[in-house]
Amino acid sequence: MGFRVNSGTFRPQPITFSFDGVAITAHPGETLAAALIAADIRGFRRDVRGGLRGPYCNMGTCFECVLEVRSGSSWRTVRGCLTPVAAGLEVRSLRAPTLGRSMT
Amino acid sequence: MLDQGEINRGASGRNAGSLHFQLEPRMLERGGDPRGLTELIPVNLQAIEDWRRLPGLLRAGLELAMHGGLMVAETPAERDLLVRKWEVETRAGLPVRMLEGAELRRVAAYLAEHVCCASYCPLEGHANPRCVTPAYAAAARAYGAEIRCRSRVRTLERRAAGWRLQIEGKEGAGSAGRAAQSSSFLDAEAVLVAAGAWSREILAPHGVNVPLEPLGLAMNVTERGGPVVRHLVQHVGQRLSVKQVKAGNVLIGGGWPAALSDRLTLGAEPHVRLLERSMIDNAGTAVHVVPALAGLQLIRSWTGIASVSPDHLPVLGAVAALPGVFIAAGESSFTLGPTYARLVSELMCLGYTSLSLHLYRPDRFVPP
Repeated sequence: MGFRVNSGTFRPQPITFSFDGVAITAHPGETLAAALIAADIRGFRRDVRGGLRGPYCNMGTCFECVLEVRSGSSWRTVRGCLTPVAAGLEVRSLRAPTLGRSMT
Repeated sequence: MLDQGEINRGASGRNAGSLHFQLEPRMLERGGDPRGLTELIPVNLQAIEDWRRLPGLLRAGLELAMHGGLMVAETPAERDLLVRKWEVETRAGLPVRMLEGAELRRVAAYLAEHVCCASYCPLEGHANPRCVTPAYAAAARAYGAEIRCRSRVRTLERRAAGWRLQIEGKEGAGSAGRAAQSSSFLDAEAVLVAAGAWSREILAPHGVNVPLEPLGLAMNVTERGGPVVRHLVQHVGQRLSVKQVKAGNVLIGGGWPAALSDRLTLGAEPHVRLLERSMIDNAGTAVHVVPALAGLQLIRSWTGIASVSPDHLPVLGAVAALPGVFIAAGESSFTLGPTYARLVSELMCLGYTSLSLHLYRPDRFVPP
């Protein structure tokens, strides 16, 4: 279960972003991966066999935590562990591989 | 079999897995003797057969794909070079066709408009280097071979009936701390040096100079995408190899340099560093030829150490000055490695080879 350390810490006012259409509360400075884990979401995407995959290295190396973030009319693939949360950000789990996911 | 490191940690496992049977552009640039070029083709033809049989022989899939390969040209000069190459290949029986215009677009709709023509070999493709060497090792063990890793040859000493190898081994190397050194001996009737760029260092103490130079290379792979590139794509005028594996990742390489810090030292891990410039230019070249790749992100880049010779041909055969010592190293050793292995093992076991190794003989660099 994910949780935030709340004793002896200070956080900026919370913001919300959406993940697969669900509102997630987070604090500026957190990464998408951290905020989703804190919201008890571990499955970020599905592998080719249909199994759930989520953050593994949490430092930008393994690409297990890739997510898609809306950028105008298209979606960009990002690593959840390196991408900061932002108010109003639309995030979704990775779709089946198509070329240029970021251009669809 | 002795390996100074671990199986597949060197160039065998650190390449981009291309199976390229068309003549390499750098061979053409040597110019001159087209007969010499024709003589290279039989090994490529044998390599096509060897790769076809390899999954059955090794009982492993190897992620082998032979869907065809294109070498593209953009300018009239590049087109001329391709045609010259195609003439040599056709004369020597390698199945290669020139594709232009509508036919080229039909075969490879993904190519950029400025690609004017391509030479197409229907048998080129790729295999996964991470599968191939372990499959070879497993098959060798099944035939009774003993494989000793973390063991390097310190000396070769001539005996009445062969050679005595002094072997320095590192026992229990790993995270536990300093590895214990051990020394042992092995007697052999015949010795094959197949240590890639390190082959030179192994033979140098015995007065044999095999001018193989180490070359640091870099390769890249993208995230998974939908099907984009069906073929192995190379460029006759630029450093490029592009191929897409079944999982959807696109491998991008083609001989872009990585920084190799200094001379190779036997028993020491070499320092090879990625160059940002290489990554950018390699990816840029790939997008220039296959524009749809712009929609994919790179997820990893890695380096390997190739070994190159002055005439861009491998070094295969008996070392004349050291009877019973053989060498198989250098150029195109992923694509042609199974065939080099076949030919050199014929030489070692039978005393003759099914294809001539004359062009590749180790003493060709010695002035007459």
